[in-house]
Formats: sequence, C-alpha cells, structure tokens
Amino acid sequence: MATPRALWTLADLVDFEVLLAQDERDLEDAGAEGRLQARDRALYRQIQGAPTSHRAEGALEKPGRRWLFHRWRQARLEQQGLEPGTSPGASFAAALALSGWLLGGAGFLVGKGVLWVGLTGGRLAGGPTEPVNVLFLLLTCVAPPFLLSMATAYLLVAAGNRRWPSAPPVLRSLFAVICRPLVRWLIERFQHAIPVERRVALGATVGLLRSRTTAHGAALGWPLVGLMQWFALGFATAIAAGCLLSVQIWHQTFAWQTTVDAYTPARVHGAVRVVATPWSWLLGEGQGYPTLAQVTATQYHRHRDPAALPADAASSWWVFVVLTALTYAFLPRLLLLLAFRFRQRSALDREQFVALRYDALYERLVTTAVAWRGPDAAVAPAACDGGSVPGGAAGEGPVEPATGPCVLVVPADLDRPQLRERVAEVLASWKGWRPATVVDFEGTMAGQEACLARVGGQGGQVPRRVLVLQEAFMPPTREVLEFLRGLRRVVGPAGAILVGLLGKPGADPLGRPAQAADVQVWRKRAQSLGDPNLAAEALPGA
Amino acid sequence: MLPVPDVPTFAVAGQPNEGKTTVLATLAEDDQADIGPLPGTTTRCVRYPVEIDGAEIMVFFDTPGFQEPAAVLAWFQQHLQVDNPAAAFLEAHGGQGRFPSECEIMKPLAQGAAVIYVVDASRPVRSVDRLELEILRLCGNPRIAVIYQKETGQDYVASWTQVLARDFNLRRSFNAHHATFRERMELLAAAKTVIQEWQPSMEGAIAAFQEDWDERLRRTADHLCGFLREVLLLREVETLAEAGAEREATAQARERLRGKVRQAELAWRRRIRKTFRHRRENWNLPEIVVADVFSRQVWRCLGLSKPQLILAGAFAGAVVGGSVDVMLGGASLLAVTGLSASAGAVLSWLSADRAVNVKVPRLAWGPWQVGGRQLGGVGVEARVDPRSNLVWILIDRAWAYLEAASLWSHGRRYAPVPLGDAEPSPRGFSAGLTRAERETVIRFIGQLRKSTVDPAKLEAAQRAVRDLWEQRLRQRTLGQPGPVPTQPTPTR
Repeated sequence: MATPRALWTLADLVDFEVLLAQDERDLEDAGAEGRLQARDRALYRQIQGAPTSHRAEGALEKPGRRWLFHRWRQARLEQQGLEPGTSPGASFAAALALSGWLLGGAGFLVGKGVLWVGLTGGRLAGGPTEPVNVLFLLLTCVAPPFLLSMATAYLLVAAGNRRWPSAPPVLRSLFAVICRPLVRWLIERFQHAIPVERRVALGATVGLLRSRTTAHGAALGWPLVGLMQWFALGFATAIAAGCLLSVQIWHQTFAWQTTVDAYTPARVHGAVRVVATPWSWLLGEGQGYPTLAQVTATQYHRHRDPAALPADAASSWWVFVVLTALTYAFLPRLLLLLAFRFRQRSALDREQFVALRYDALYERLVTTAVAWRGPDAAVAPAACDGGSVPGGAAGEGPVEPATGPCVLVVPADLDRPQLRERVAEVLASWKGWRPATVVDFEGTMAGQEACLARVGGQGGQVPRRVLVLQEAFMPPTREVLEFLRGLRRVVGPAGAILVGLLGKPGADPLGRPAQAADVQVWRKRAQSLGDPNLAAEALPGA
Repeated sequence: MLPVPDVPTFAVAGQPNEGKTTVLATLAEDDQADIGPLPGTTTRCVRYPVEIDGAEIMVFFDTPGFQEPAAVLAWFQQHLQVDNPAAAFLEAHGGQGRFPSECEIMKPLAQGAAVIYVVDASRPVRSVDRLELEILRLCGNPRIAVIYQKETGQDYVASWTQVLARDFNLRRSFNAHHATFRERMELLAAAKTVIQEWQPSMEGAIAAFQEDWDERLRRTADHLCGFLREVLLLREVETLAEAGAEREATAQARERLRGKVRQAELAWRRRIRKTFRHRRENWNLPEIVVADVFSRQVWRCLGLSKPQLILAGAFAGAVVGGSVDVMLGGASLLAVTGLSASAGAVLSWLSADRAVNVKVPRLAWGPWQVGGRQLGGVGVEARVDPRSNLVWILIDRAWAYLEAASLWSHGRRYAPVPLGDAEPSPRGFSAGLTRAERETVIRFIGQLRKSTVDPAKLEAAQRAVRDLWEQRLRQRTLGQPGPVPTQPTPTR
C-alpha cells in the first residue's frame, strides 16, 4: 500500500512544531514519557485503523513520516478541540497574510510619495503644469525598484546554488567587523544581569529557533522573506498606477533634458528603444515608445519656455513611461513574489522530517506498546523486539533513514568493562542503530582532533549516525560543545549526532541512571547549538 | 617570577558546578552569594575581601569553572618558558572574547593568589580534571585541594586523594554544606602554611575570627537573657467596660499578651539572624520551632516534664522559704523552707499548663469625678506565669533556633543534606539541662518575679544564666564536649 501524499502548508508546519514543542516541554517531567507513548500509539492506531492482530500490523508497511506526521497533527488538533482556522498555524498564516496586506499598503504609500518626488522634482521649470523630465522620473521611480528586484532575484537564485556567493564579500566583511563585536559586547555586558536559569533557557530557545530554521529551511524562511515582496509590490503598484493616473487624469506631459553633450537625441532614442524591447514587438515605435523626431522635439533646453515644447511630442512619452513602470517596477516584483511562493511550496513538498529530533515522535507512533501486567500492576510499556522497530529488516519495504550503522565515540574515561557491548545492545532496541565503528577519544586537543579525523575518515564515507557517550554528571562545557560542532562539520548537516548520557558508575556497565536535572542541562545546552540533527538523551537502562 | 601578594589571597577554582561558590559562601558567611544547581552560574571573578577594623587582611576570589581546559593546556604547553604563565595568558587572550571563563580564573592567579581547588569526591576523577590540575601546576601558584562530597552514597575520596597528592601542597576534606565554625577555622589554619610570608597575617586573621565568634556567642547569650526578661516582664491591662465583663476582658488581655510574646520571639529571632549574618532563613527548622508557641503540639513536646516542673517549683519555693529561715536564724527548723517548697511544687503543678496568668483585682474605685469624668476603673492584668512551662518552652525553641542559626552553613541552599554533627536537633534543651543548670535559670526567673528587684542579685543571676548559655553554645558550635541532650518526648 503506497503511502498517500500529504499536502503540507505553512500553517500545518507551524501547528506541528507547536505541538512537538509542547511534547518536548512535557517530557521534562519524569513521568511524561509513558503518557506520551500511550497517547501517540493510540493516535497511530486511530490514524491507521486497528489491525486484526499484531502479526497483521507487523506485516504492514510503516507509513512515511510526512504523511504520518500530517495526520498526527490533525488528530492532535482535534484532540485539543481546536476548530479549523483557530489553530496556532492558522493564526500564524492569517497574521502573515494580514502583514502582507499591511506591508503592501505601506509600500503603496511610500511609492506614492516617491512618485510625487519624481513628478515634482522632475518638473522642467518648476510649475505644476510643466512637463516632467522623463529621465529623472524613471531614474527615481523605476530604476531603484528594478535594481532591487534584480538583487533579490540574484539572492533567490544564489540561495539555491551553493556555488554562487549568497552575499557580496563587502557585506560579509561589514557584518564581521561591526555586527559581530557589537553582539559579543552586548552579550558580555548583559549576560551577568540575567540569572543563569534564564540564560540557559534563552540560549536553548534561540538554538531551537535556529534549529527549526535549519531543519525546515526554505519552508519557514521563504514566507518571511516573501513578505517583504508585498511591500515592494505595493511600491511598484503605486509607481505604475500613479504614472497611469497622472497621464490619464492630469494630462501629464514629459520631456527630457541633459547638460551632457554626448547624450544626443539619437542616443537617447536608442536607449529608449532598448528599454522598450519587451513590448516593442506589440507596440512599436510611435506607439509603445516615441519616435526619434518626438525625442528630438521634446529635448528641453534651459532658458526655453517649456510651453513651447510640441504638445503631441510631449504626450508621446506617456505610453513608454507607463509601460516602463509596469515592466521594470511592477512585473519583476510580481514574478519574485510568485517565485518565493513557488520556492516555499517546493520546500514544503520536499520536507521529509528526517531530522533527529523527529525520531522520538516517529518511534512513539510506530512502536508497539507492550505491557506486563503482573501482581504489582506495574505497567511498563516497552518496544517490541523486531518488527515494530522503524526500518524493519532489509527488503521488507523502504529503509528508514533513521536506522542502521553508526559510529560510536567513547571517551577514554569510560573504560568500564563491557560498556561497548551493553551500549550496542541498548542501541539496537532503542534506536535501531548498530555501532559499526568505535572511536576512542582523549580529552586533549590532539585527542579530539584525532577522534574527529577518524570519524570523518570512514573509508571515504561520511557517517550518517554518530553516538557520543558522555557522563551526565560532568557539565557540558564550551569545549564539549565545540567538539560537537567539530563533529557536525565532519559528519555534514544531515548526519544524526546523538549524545548518549550515562550516570555515575554502578553495577551495570551503563552505570546508575543519569539524574533528570543533569539530563535537562545537557538537553538545553545541546539545543542552544541550533542543530536540528543533534540531541542529548539519557541512555535507557542507564 | 610569580608575585606574592601582601595580603593572603586565595582563588577558588574547579569544574563548573563543583561547589566553588558554596565553599566561598560558607567561608565568607555570605548567604546572598549566587549559588545555583545549573553549571555556569558564576561567570565572573568575584572578590571577597575580609576586613578587620577596616583593614583588609585576606582576600578570596570566586572564579567560574574551566570551560576549555584542553585548549588552555595546549596553549600553556606551548609557552612553558614564561615566568608568569597566568599573566601571559591574560595578555594573550584577555579582552579578545576567547576563553572568557579561563581569563577570569587567571586574573587572581596572575597576581600570585594561592589556589583552593575544589573537587567533588562523590564522582570519579576524569581526564578533564587532570587537564585542569596540569594547568594549575603549570601556573605555579601554591595549591590547596578541598575535597567534599555533594552527594552521599558514592565515595571516590581515595582516588581523588591519590590524584591530588602529586601536585598539591595540601589537601583537606571540607563539606561546605554543613561546615561548622570550627571546621572553617581549621581550613584556614591549614591554608596558612602554603606561603610562609602569610603565616602571621593568617594567624592574626584566625585569632580575629575566633574573637569575633566568641563575641557573637556572648551577644547571643545576652540577647537570650534579654528576651526572657522581656517576656517575663510583659504586662497587658484590659479595662472592664462594665461590671460582669471580666470574662471577655480576660480573654482579650490573654490574647493580646500572647500576641506580644509571639512578637517578642520574632524580634529576638531577627536579632539572632543578624548576629550570625543570615539574610535568608532557609534552614531545616523542626516543626515545633516553626509552629505557634502556644500550640498544643509545642506544649506536648517542649519544656520540662511535669515532675521536672514540680521540682523546679519546689526549688523556687525553697529559695524563698530558705531566706526566711536564714532571717529567723534557724529557729524555724527549716519549716518555712519545707512549707515554701511544698507550696511551690503545688503551684507549679497547678499552673504548669497555664502560660498566661490573668489577675482580676478586686479594687473598686470610688465615685470620684474630675471634670465630670469617672476616675480610674476596674481592669484585668495579664502577665506570663513564671511557674508555667512557657518559659522553658521558649528556652527550648530559642535553643533550637540558635543551633540552626549558628550551625547552618551560609553556602547551603538546595536539597536535603543528611544529618551530621552540625545538624540542629529537635530535642528539648531544657529537659536536658543538669539540675544545677536548671536551678541557675530558676534563680534568674525568680529575681524577675520579685515585686522589688534587687539589682545586684538580678545582675548576678543574669550573668550566671548568660554564662551558662554561652558555655553551651561554645560546646555546640566549637565541638567541645558537653552533656548529651535527651530526645523530646511528649510530657503531657
């Protein structure tokens, strides 16, 4: 059975992230995991329809994350009793739309203002009825939006093409020289005034936003960037409409002037012809743009009475002016807006939810709940071995990207007997990962570099999964976080990095259970890195 | 060459969240120090100067934890020939935004401060600890290791001692969560040997601390005497609105007097907190100290037992009767003493549970009027009954509060710490007094009861009681041997 296609919208994505964030907050409570497991498993069975037996369920192909998360989102919203249109995502989308209209209106007003400057400033002799210098008008009202449109188009294309630099080197240098030291100074100045709990929470929140943006990339980023196009579109509309109105209603006439002798009427006419290329096939010379004679006749010289300009020649420019505004100010912005919409749509269509942080939800959904009901009536949901682990055996369906071989990084301090075997055992049932390579690392700089080199040099293949063991009672220092950043550079943006937390040494090779407070600290620090494919979790059984 | 500061200067260093600030808060008696369960609470070097008579005699620095020990060690290993590595490190990285925590740590080290390296021996030694130890060794500053355990049940003291033995001049066990004054002084006394030039200053400082502590104990004993005196002299008068309203007036007077007793106790506790420099009151106080002083629960558990109270009453009576026998020159054959003792015993038995005595005087004012207004009137007078158990209950509660105030470590914030020698014990202090000590207290109370007080005798009695409490406090806080207190059992 092929998984049906799910159409994700921006509102859906926001709803999903909000619901996921709620669950992540709930998970800070020790008893929440079982509760969420039971809830999501029930939702899964509701979404899929309950099979006749566990064997029947085991034989079913596991649904793709995209479709499953879409349905989960829907079911969760229904559970919360939210009407369609009142969910956080719908509100966000509505707010975005409203912002677009408001920005468009603002842009329109600004455009009107700029047009007024163009028309007023371009008057040849200062009087309100005099012809307007067409060169000044186009340079003021059409050229800037056109250039900005081109720049935006460049960024739009560069964003999808890694070989193109996305920002000019000058801008990057300016940022490095001015903004970075300023931000650093601000942080140093004010961080001491903020209690450490708030600092950690703030760092985690900022990191979370960054990780969301990284994870969803274009899907979340483009709508916000696209919002600015509304402003530009409103601006361009004002220019084009204003030009049209000024011509149709106020009988605005145009001429041109220059003190540069090189700008002869012939040359100006040539330039006009080039500019009019997009519509000249439809509206030729004399219709879509003025003739050479008209251009010559409308050249204004100082000390000459503007009223002496031939009226028909002065009026001959209006089609050209309006079409220029439409073609070079309005149309590019409209196309850019559509392009941003298209980018957003395709980003949403590409989103497969394979980042590490979605694993927990997926596992909760697809993992069969097994409960022992003994005399103590203690219910301990646990994953069923074998069929219900995401991915299943090879050949039974699509291989889930979240399972498979991994690199196990073990600090030299963790020389507990049988630790590696125990970790492998736990990892298989917990994540479906299999330690294919074990890399030791010393805490020294040389040791860390050697470890990163070994992780990166896995027979030329970049590892897709890395588990780094750490002891939860040792605080996550800056050096540890730097090591994780180094791992990210080696593994690439898509690889999953999991920090597996152990407690103090005990009878079990995995040690005693890690303290919940310590795990929370690690989670928040990991979150502050803003890496959607990095997580810190206590090893089960530890 | 490392500079040697004129004033003994110590920098407390260690892993993040290891307990550095806790150690410092305990040593400096600062319960406002920023201590939290999350690593990274301390981000800057904080200076704690110790002054005596306005002159700085010692300085402590609290530092943030090492955040990048491997990278810092690598730098140090590349700059081994430098005389003052900490200063060189600061010069290379200070103000650059790189290694901000380590730069803060190096600031006092560059000035020649000795290092107090704090380790948590409830966790195993790790490679990052060895890196830090190596950094400190390369800095060259004198080093003291303070070993303590944040959690019970896991003990890695042996492995830590082995690791620290190599590079540390001195190692001490010190539990910042329940270190007594004596233990704090022992740590400072040990620290004085790290730099010979500092020895006289440190000895002077320790002597000054001891003197200050003694003075605080004396002041506390004085406060306690003052508190009892204030309570015993409390008086509340309620004028009868009309004839037949004695009951109502009695109840009101009694209640107002009780309110005054409560207020007096609260005020006394504030003074004690101030004496011991506690700005927080986050102690593990027993329930019977926190509950209302007039609650049944408190009266069941604290104070003297009935037999003890009767004996106390008998003694008080005998003291009074004895003075009469002495005046009669023995002619009464101690009969007065005997009768007084018996009467005292009976009265004590009758008034054991009655905290407040309300007198309704039968004095009737005449119909004298001045300016059309009736002069005087009939009033009820409420006073604390000195024969009741209230005084002993107040003493018990005061003692428990004193124990908490004098023994609670200023660095202690979170999570219950298992009971140790320094934990305040919810026992009945007065029930554990020896007979002689009880009699000292009774004499003092007796002097306060007299309608005409003999100042010399009162002073002598007060001094005796004050000395008693001072001695007891010294025993408790300085670990000197004293009588074993008994457990509180409901006496009624």
